[in-house]
Amino acid sequence: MDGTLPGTDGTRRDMTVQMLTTKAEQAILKTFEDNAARLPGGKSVAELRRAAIGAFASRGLPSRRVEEFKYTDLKANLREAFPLVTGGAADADTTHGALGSHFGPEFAANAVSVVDGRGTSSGGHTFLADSKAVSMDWVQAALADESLAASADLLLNTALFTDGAVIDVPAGADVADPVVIVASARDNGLAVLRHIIRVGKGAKVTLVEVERAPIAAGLRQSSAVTQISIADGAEVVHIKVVEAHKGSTHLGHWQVRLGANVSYKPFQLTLGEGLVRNGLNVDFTGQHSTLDFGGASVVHGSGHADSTLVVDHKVPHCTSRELYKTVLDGQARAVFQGKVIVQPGAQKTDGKQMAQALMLSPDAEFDSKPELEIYADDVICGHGSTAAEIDPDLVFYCTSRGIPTAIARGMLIESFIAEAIEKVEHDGLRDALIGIARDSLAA
Amino acid sequence: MLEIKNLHVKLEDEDKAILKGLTLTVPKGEVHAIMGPNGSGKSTLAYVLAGREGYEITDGDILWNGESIIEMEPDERAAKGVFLAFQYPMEIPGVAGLTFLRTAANAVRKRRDMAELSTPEFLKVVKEKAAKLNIDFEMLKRPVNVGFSGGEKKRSEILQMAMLEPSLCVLDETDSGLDIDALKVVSDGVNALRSPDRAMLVITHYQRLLNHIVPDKVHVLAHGRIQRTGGKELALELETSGYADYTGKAA
Amino acid sequence: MPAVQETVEQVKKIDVDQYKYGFETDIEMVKAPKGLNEDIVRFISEKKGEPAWMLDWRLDAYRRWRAMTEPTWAKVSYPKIDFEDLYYYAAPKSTEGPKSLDEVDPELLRMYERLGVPLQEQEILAGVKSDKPRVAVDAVLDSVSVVTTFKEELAKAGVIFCSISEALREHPELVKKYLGSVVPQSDNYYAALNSAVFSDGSFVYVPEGVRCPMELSTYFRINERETGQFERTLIIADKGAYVSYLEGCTAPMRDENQLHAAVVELVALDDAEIKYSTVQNWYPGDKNGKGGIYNFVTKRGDCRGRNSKISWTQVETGSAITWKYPSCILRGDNSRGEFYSIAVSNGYQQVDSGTKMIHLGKNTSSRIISKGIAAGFSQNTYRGLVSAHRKATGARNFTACDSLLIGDKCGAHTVPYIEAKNSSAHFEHEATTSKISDDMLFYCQQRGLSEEEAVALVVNGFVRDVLQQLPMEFLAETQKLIGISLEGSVG
Repeated sequence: MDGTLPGTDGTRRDMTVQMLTTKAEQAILKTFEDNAARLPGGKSVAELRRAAIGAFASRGLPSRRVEEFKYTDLKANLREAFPLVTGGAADADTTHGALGSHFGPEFAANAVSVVDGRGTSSGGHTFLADSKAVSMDWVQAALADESLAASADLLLNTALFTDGAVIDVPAGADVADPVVIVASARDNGLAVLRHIIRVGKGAKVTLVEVERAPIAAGLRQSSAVTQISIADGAEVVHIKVVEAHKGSTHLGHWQVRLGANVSYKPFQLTLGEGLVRNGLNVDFTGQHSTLDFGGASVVHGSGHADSTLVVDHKVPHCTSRELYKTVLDGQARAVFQGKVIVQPGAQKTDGKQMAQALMLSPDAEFDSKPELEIYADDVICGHGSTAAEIDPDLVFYCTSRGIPTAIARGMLIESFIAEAIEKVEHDGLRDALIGIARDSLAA
Repeated sequence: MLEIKNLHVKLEDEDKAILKGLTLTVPKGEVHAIMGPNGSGKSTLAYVLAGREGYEITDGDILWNGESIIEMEPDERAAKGVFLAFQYPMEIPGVAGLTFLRTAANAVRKRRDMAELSTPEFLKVVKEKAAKLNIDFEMLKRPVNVGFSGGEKKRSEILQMAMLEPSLCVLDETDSGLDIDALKVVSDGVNALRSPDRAMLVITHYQRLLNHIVPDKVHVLAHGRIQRTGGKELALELETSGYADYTGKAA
Repeated sequence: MPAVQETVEQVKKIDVDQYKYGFETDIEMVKAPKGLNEDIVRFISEKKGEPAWMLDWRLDAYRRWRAMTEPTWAKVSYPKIDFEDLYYYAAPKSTEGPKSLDEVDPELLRMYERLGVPLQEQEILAGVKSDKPRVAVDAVLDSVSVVTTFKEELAKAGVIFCSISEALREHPELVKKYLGSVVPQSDNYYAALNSAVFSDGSFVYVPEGVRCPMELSTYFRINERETGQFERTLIIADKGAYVSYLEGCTAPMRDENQLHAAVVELVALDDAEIKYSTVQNWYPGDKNGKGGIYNFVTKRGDCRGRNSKISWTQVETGSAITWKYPSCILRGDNSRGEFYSIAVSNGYQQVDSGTKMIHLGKNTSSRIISKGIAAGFSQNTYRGLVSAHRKATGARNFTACDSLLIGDKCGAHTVPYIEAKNSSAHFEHEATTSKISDDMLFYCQQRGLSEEEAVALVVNGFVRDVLQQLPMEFLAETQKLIGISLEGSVG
């Protein structure tokens, strides 16, 4: 039995026999053929799409034999692919609904809203489907980024994206209010978005991506890839909230490039009972930059939340911090894969990572793979990972002070997850995130 | 009045008995000290009084004000006035001290049919009591006991005790890890809570704490039973003679 | 600080090439023809006079191996091995007769003497060297066991310690019952290859309630050219038994790469304990990365009984490439697995090693302490799995993996897989990677140590937790070995 376990099983991963194309894969290939002519972008983008779908066709959806998807087998879990949504019949005023009640009206006011796979024209924002936007040099360069050909979920996005936000923060700008991108779509549809963001030298901005389906919503599938390039000296806070209900799937990925002296603070909150994959690749390309990642998930029922990070220290003198916390209930499963690479010559790298799971139900599962790949000697790197139930000694301590058990447990669970959310410095955002997490914990 | 009658306790997963017929009475208004060598069962007694899981009472009973408490959950006991100051207070990451104090105080008040404290009332009381214990109010905004020094933790325990207004205080090795100044502050805090309505059980290995918290009676616990009972002078006697007389074969 | 001093002395004595076991011995050998096919498998089985079931077992393994491909997931790279260009059987001619110490070819005895392996049963028995601890040794040269010491004395205690070939003849029922029960024939590519062609190795059976009266040890030596070594070790500790076992390995310095693909199976029944220590010092190749052993090994222990315990300790300093993951299957309730490892890599060595702790029974616990030291141009990877299955309630694991880098041309990597499949599992994992701090070196130097001495001191401190797990007899030797392996890594 042990021969089938990962890592030291010498045979399984080498079986290159391609499995038969699944129903979902067939549907995705057909979706491309049906929609290719209508998808936005000029000739060069069309070529990219064609190449991507070709690569996707030969690889198929990643199964557990693909190391990066070892614990999130999309081939097995994605039974079908819904038809691509390309705008049209959206519900009115979905923006505020999709944000939910915890985000105050100030967040909705100037939101960049993408409904049913198309940007909405109100608000004067720029979208990728505009022929002028997509033909800009920096946007073209981003789209041609070869690192997005690395895995099949990203190829799918390249082949099929219908739209997305294009945000260009000029050098020196200090954007006071958070820029909120809200995506919503109809039930039984596949929404595929690509957001392209550029932050100029010394600029300051807070970006928020929200994708939450109302409780009553039906099944949804979505893929959202955000590419963000941050120039020297800029400070960026980047937040994502994903809530997916049972049977729904969200495949998210952030591809981030940091210049020198950058401060980048991403935070991702994942909730619900659906299948969510959040990928994050951060490349350090300039010295003295800092990455400070926070991640939290509250997963119920048969939910599956995957956070997969690759932090690549290509240059010296950079710092990376990651803190991931998950609370698991029912048969929920959370996956944390965090790889920190220190390239040759990237001396004085300081990289630390912690992943912690609180398991509330006997059937919950936490799979963790914190990884270090280090080719420079003058570094301080480390990671930790823990999985456990609520500490009975802490519960006893609280109850001995007169706090009833249920309240004590609730308090301990909330404080566990809040430790990650506390990383968000913006008061309004932090309160909103804690509120959302609290609702989910109470569910 | 606390009455411990012929108490026999063992660990749930082991067959070794720890308390073997311990009998003890502490009337209201009195402070009793329990002294004993390491491994005599002192901490077990403290935990069993507070209702910690993992122990099995195989015989005997514990009565508080005439009512058996051994079937009660820890929070029910707390509502009945039982307070244990831990030897090693727990650190609770992420839960602010003030939140914890307020949740506990109001949970207990509610069960005692007392009105919950409003935020201003609560803050006023905490500020006052914290000041008496030399606790910096800012410290209470930090997570409970996280990163506190030994002395800070013990003072924080006494503050919790003061806030919950218990009628039975059990202090488990409260002097451990304290320097002389901290010991004085903690003892003053405890002495301030001495009252005709309150019983106190002070568990300690060393006599020095009893110079500050002067007991009405001293009991020597060894081999799971009270071996000897005397006045405060018994503690001094133990200080010079040690526990050698009690660590030999079971009496 | 004597150990450190000794390390430094030792290092100074050695010139360019620090490998002191690199000599060749000229011994007349019997070999099977080059290449691998069913006839070779039959040849090996026949040479050993094996029963028919054993031949069938080998052939089955061979056919499975043919259908498999080499694993590629480890962080190691090497040119493709031509499995048809190897000898799969090589034995000293003199060993074809009976084996007792006084019948062994004196040339062989001289070789073991040079290697520092104690094959002096008589002297010890006669009490001449009574101050030395007694260690029973099974000496395996290329494909066969040449001698096993202290057999009679062990037999008095009921302990069976012999070569696996002899066990197949003398105790076929025990071998049949346990062989392949921990590492099945088709477990992985190299285990399948080993199952088909293994030629010798050690066999240990400690009966119920017996505490093995002395340390058992096997010394593996590759001597022939173009020869693969495929040994198979099987250790069974019956109910309540205890045994401590140590293996050592060396090989001559050669330009060619030689393949070593061993399988070790341990079985611990109720309340039994097996302590397995390895000091692996196969030839690592020269300073340009030429030559050295490919050490592709499958080691696994099965804590089959309640309250059983298996502890692996390894000190890996040799081999051009190391691919091994000594593991524990914690099947019995309350069973415990331990893995203590020091992996030192220098030159162009590549190490991909770690462990698997598979928690299946209730209230099982495991502990992993891994210390990797990378120097020169080497790559040093810890790869490990800790897994608690659904029904393995109360599983506990603590893992600490620390890596130390010496120089900026090497790599140290950590790839842990942690799978908690029930809520009562309590897993803690921590890993750190750093270099020897300049402050620490300065402090030592300010107190009068040379830079080399300071490094040796710090490294010895770094690996201390693991060294303490080794049997006392081997501690000093191992400490020296680590120092030697790092020779030339500073400055």
